[in-house]
This record gives sequence, structure tokens and C-alpha cells, in this order.
Amino acid sequence: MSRQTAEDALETLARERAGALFGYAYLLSGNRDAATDLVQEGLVRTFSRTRRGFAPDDAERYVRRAILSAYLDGARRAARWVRVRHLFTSSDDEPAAASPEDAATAAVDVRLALLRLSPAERAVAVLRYGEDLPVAEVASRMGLAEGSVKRYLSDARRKLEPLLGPLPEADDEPTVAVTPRRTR
Amino acid sequence: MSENPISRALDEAGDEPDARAFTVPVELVRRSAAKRRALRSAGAAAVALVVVGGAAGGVSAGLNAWRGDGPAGPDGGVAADWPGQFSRCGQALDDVLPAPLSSARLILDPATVALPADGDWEAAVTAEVGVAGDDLGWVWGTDLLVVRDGVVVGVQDGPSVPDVGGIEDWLGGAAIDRVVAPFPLTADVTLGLASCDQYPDGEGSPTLTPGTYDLVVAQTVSYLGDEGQVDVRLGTQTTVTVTDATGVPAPGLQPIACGATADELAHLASPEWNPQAFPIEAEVTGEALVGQPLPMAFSVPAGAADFLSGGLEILDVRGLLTRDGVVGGDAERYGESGPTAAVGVPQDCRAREAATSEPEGGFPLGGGEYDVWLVLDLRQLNMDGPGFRVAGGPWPVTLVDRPAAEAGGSQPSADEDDARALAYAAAESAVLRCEEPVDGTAAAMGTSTGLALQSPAPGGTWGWVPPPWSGSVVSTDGRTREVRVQRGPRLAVLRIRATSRPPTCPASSRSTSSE
Repeated sequence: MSRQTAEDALETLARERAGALFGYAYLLSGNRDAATDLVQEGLVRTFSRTRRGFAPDDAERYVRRAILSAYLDGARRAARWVRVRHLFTSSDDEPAAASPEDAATAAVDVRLALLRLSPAERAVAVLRYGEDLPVAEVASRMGLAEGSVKRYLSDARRKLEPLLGPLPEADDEPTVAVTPRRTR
Repeated sequence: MSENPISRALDEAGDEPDARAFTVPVELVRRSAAKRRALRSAGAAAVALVVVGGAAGGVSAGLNAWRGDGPAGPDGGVAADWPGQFSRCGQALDDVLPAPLSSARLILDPATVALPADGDWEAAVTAEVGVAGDDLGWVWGTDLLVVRDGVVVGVQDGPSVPDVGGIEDWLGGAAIDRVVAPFPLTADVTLGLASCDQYPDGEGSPTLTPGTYDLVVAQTVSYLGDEGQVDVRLGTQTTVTVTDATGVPAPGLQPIACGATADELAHLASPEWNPQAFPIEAEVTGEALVGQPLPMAFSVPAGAADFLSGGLEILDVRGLLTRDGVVGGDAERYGESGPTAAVGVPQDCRAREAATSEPEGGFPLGGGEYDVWLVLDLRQLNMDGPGFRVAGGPWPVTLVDRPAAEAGGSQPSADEDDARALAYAAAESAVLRCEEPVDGTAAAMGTSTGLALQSPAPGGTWGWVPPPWSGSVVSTDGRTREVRVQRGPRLAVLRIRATSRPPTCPASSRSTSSE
């Protein structure tokens, strides 16, 4: 596949893949404004590092990874706030309702369901179930141990299935929420 | 092909009205990317200019050479875009290591000894230059050179910027190029390592090949002497092991050796070693049968628990038994997650070590008095690297030899171990999920009936205590979780106290079950 200069790759992504990148970020974050920021940050992170350009498919892959990193970075920063926000308000604990203009699409249902997950669980669910990545690849992209990914995946599936129906079970995913480790 | 709702949603997401209406601000992205790239590659050069303007002598010339914009490589257009540190790629060690100075030295304590190829090298780097303690100086920045066979094969992945301790934030983002402080000067350094393989044409790998390298750490330090500003170039040499990017456990987090002294554990438990201040609390009931799980569970105080669950992941938890100041046994953790846990049956650590090496210490775990320590391996969430280790303890514990009649009983002790282990895990999970009502119900699993510890949330099974044990989960005040398991006259009460109470944690709930 031919390589594009970084400039060309950015133009191509903006022209042809903006909606897909936004949708990916929206599914991760559950928030339109956050999705806009994530796409922009993902593009800046990617194109501030390249000097040589990309193959077109590679460019989108890099940007998606950068969006994921930016999302997880933001989630870490927000974690402290989440732990004290109940002291200030209780209303924003609930997922935001779909706006009237939202069509009753699968994406809306899934987005609302994903809002019930922690950021790490949400990211794992999108990568594993949405992008169909194996657990090892999810672990690599998130910088986690595979065991941690399996735990997040198991928790996410337990919360999502009552809302979305059965989700595929990874062969290597734990089948119960708590599996004691044997020492003998 | 879409196989599940999330996959379908991802496919549809790009066609939703919001997505179709979204446009990339190309020009803004282009400008932001260019600015960020320029900041990375030009940061070091800007500092060098300040030094050249104010300093005297050859050190400044040397500094300039270290911090140059990068040489014109075979492809000048490409090389010009490379950060200055890459100019040292391919140089001989003797050419890049600062000349030793008798009155000055660089101290690394602590410093990363192993890291994944895409991880960060971290160290507290202290510069001493042999001047009076009340003299003021500053560090221009820290450089890293990865050396193999006497040749530079890698450099730091980022500019050599000074550690300004967050002062920029306090000053509203103003650019700070130096912070003046009394000697010795200590800088917290966090830098990734980049392979020279990619330089100068960008075709090679940007990451170092796994292996052990020499690492040269260098700083330029300045201070005001009697005759004006004095610049000193300091360097020291150490080694670093680069693992693959998946984070193979580093030597620093290998199990504490059988026969190690309790001094090592005391050091890990000291406030000096644990400056993040998450003291570890444990409940130890004092006695345990030999071959049974330790009657203890650990937790961390409320504030620290928030920090742990929000920012760190627990890589490993281990209970260590010492007697007369020597490590003789260890016990793995039961359960997988959260800031609370229990530890299981302590094993003679010589048995574990014998699988890989000749044990050099340790002793049989018979009845007697011991101290127990908890050792936690932690890592910041979503970060690469081997993490770090802290410890808590010691707490006294007595191991009691199993009575002969009991030891020879009709049922194998493995059942008891299983029940207790599972109850521990269930108790742990009950704490972690105490925002949900706790319920313990008798339930069928397969063809047998036992105690299932279950959340009313869909799919919320926490643990399973197999028959013929029965038991109950008791919640007394929303902060305490007890799991009681019973078989005949034997009763095990396993209690873990939650150190923080989520706002929706029920004030009280109680339920029981029976066989």
C-alpha cells in the first residue's frame, strides 16, 4: 500500500473518516463534546509525532489508538473527581438520557448501556466487542495485564447483558465474577 | 461483520447525525501538531542558548555540542527535524561521557533498573559539585545515553528539560528554564528511551531491542562562584534492562528471597520508602493452624483506598512470615482485585524457590511464633513498567500444629482450605461491592447445594462455598462484611472491614443461609 505524506494522510482522514472517528470516540466517551475533543487530540498526538507519513489504513489505526490513550488519560484525571462528586451533587451519577433528536438506534442504546460502566470497563468492551480484538491485543493497547483486561471484561459483560442481551464470551474470559486463586 | 450490539453500534456510529455533522478542524490540528512537535524538538536547544549567553569557558561549548539541533545526516532534510539528542547516536562512549571530576558526582537513588521498551526510565538524580551547602545552583537538564559495546545506540525520547517541580503551573503556564536551589540539587527525571536505529532516515525501529545496556546519565549544573557562573558537566554510568513492551516483570519486583532479612521488609514498610503514604492496615486474629490460610486480611485507609482504586493497580499481594528476623514462608493472595484482600495458606518458601534455584535460607513452617508482613506490588493504572513495591507489618501470628486426631480426620483438609479460600474471596468482593445489598442464599450449583454469595444485580455471583459447608454473609453497619462458614462444630468467621463507605452503601443488611 502506498504511503502518504502526513499532510495528505490528515486530509484524507478528515475527508473520509471523520464520522467514523467521531463515532468511535463517542462510543468510548458517551459525550458529544468529549468525542469532538478526543478526535482532535488523537489527530494532534498522531500527526505531531510522524515525520514520514503513513499508509492510509495505518493513519486511522494510529489515530484510534491515540484517541483511546487520550480517553484513558482523561479518565484517570477524572477518577479523583468521581470519588468526591457525591459530596457535591447526586444527579450526574445517572447516565444522561438520549436527547430528543437522537434516533432510537442501536448506537444510542449501546452508548447508554456503556455509560453504566467504568471508563476502563467501557474501553475494554469497545475494543473487545466493538473492534473484535483479542484479549492480548486489548491488554497491549491499554497497557494492562491480560488478567486485568479479563476482569474488566467480565465485569462489563455482567453489567451489559441485562441491557443489551447476550454478548460473545471470550474463550479466555473468566466465567464467574470472582475466581479465587488456588495456592496449592 | 456485525456480531453483537456493540459491534453493530460501532458500525452505525459513523452514520449517526452527530457523526455526519462532525468535521475535523484540519488547520487547527495541523497548527497544534506542528507546535507540539516544535516544542519537543526545540526545548533543549532553547536552554542551550541561555547557557551560551551567560557562561564562560569550555563547558558551555561542550554543552552546546550536547544540545545541538542535530547534525545534518545523510538526508539533511530529515535529520534537521530530529531532536538534538539524536546527534549523539553512533558516537563512542569515551566521546560522550563527561570527564570525571573529583569534587563532583551524580547520584541515582532510586533509579529504574528495568523497563519495557516503550516505558519510562525514572530516577531521582542528585548532583553534588563540592561547593558549600548554602551555595545556589541549578540543573539545565538530564540526558540519557544508551550504550552497547561502547557505542551510543539509544537516547532519551524527549528533550532534556529541567525539572521545575510544577512551578510552571503555579505561574500560569509561564515558561521556566531553571529553578535555583541549594546544593545538593535533586531532579525527578522521567524519560523514555528511543533507539538510534530509526536515525536519521526514520526507517528503523524506534524502540530498543530487549536486553541489558549501559546507561550514561549526564547533567549540566551551574552555580554562581566567586568569579561568576560556573558550569559543570556531570555524568555517571549504570545499567538498565529493557524488556519487551508487554512488561515482563523486572528484577526489582522478583519475589523476596527465602532467607532474606526482615530489615528489607522493614525498609519497604518505612515512611521513607513509602512517601505516597498509603499505610497498610491488617486484621490478624493471632492464631492459625499450620497448613491453613492466615487469619488476616489487609486494607488501606480511606484516602489511600481512593488513591489505590483510582490510580493504581495491584500487581501482586503476598504475605511473608519471618522468624528471628528471617523470611521463611510466604502466602499468595486470594482474590484478584481491589484495595482489600486476604492471603492464603503460607508455604515454606524453600519449596517455591527449589523449582528455579537452590534456596539459600528459610525454615520449616511448624508451630510457633512468627511475624507476618504484607508486600504489595503496585503500578500506576495504564502505565507500563514494573511498578513499585511497598510493605506493611509486622504483625504477630502464632501457627499451631494441627492436632493429630484432626489431622487424621476423615475429610481431607483441602475441602476446608477451599471453603475458607472461597469465603475469603467472597468477603473481599462483598467489601468491593458494598454499594450493593449483600445477600447470602442457599443455591444449587450442578448437583450439589452449598452457599452461594450473591448480589441481586444480574449475574452478580461473588463466590461459592461448596458443601458440606454452610454459612452466611453478615453486614452489621454498612462498613463491615463478615462471611461465616461452618461445618459441624467448626466455625470460621472471616471479617473484613471496609475502610471507606460509598454513599449508597446500605446502612444495614443481613441475611443468612443454611445447608
